Amino acid sequence: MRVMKHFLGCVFLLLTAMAAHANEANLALPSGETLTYARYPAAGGELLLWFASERGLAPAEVKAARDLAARGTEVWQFDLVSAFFLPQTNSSMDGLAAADMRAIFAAARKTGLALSVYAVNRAAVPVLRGLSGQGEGRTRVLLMHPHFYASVDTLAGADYLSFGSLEGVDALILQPRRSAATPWVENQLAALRAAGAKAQVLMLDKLREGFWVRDSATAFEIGEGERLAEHVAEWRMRFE
Amino acid sequence: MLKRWSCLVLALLALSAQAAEFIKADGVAPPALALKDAEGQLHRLDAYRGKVVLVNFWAGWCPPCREEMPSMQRLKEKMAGRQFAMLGVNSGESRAELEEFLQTVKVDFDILLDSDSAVTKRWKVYGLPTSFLIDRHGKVRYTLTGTTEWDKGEALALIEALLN
Repeated sequence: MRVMKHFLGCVFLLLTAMAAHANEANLALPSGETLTYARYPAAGGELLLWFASERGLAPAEVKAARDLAARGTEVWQFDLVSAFFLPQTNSSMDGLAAADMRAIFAAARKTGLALSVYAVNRAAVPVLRGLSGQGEGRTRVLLMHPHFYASVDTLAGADYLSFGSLEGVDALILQPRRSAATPWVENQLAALRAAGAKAQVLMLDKLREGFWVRDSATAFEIGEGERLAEHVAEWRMRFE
Repeated sequence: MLKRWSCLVLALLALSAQAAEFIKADGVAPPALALKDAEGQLHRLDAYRGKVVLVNFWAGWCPPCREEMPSMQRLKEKMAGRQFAMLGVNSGESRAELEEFLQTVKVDFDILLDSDSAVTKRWKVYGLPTSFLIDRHGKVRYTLTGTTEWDKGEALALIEALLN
């Protein structure tokens, strides 16, 4: 376990170091923890909070953050699994304190920059919990193939996690079409809407989940992974 | 009630081939299944009553699905002349995508097109591949989310038990 924690910590630091323009930043959380993240400063008036999946941060995501900053969007990039030394399991981020997540969003709002959020896969869970009951103001959230099943029963059905009120959330689900989750994306939309979020979906054709990091990526997936920053910028425009 | 899987299992299945476990289904009746194959011929599950049927939901983009296809083909050949049938339900892909796949992976068991995933949803399939073993009375006896070697070991033993 200690070796794994050390390894994950090293991976996080290595990926952070690969980004020439990243600064290491720290945020004191209500739980008493100090959260370390990569900050890519920019002077364009916009801030994107990027939450990696339960599988950690991929090199393509680090490159995307750097590219977005070069385009004028400041990025704060979080690998919560590494930062909190969590195991790389699907539900590992589910237990993160909502108060800690709210502190991240509060710090982001304090900058005065126009805020949007990008969360990959199960990172949707802590992000949506942190945004629940946020009161006035709206937050734009890009959810890349989110999973927030509580459980699934083959032949019977699925249950979704509850987040409380998401009335301040504008969500765009980004769903790679080549996914077992694609037939169920309408149910995920319905779950978000039932919680009060404005939610829509964008199908990503010819792509599979995690297309930017897959070992067996097709040439098309590799190309799309290299253009992740461009795509994120475009997807964010869909809220305008 | 069938055994519940966590999302962890689904996520792992989506990314790589995993050791999977057969789950007993206690003889529940399966949802309706009536789909056409690539030649336009309609296949109805209830027409196979009296046979043991393996229903396998898969997609060409799914590496674990492709991985188990050769063992399914060998199973089909091994079961020739017996009261056994296999239906591969291609989930969410077009006829063109299916035909492209079948040019690279040679199988000759019945492949059915569920391009709009309507049957996939009706059967509450959340991961690929997912398989169902149906007994001679048309009841689901086992489910499997993930891959196996269909022509040997536990999979073959379960099929033989249902046949006998």
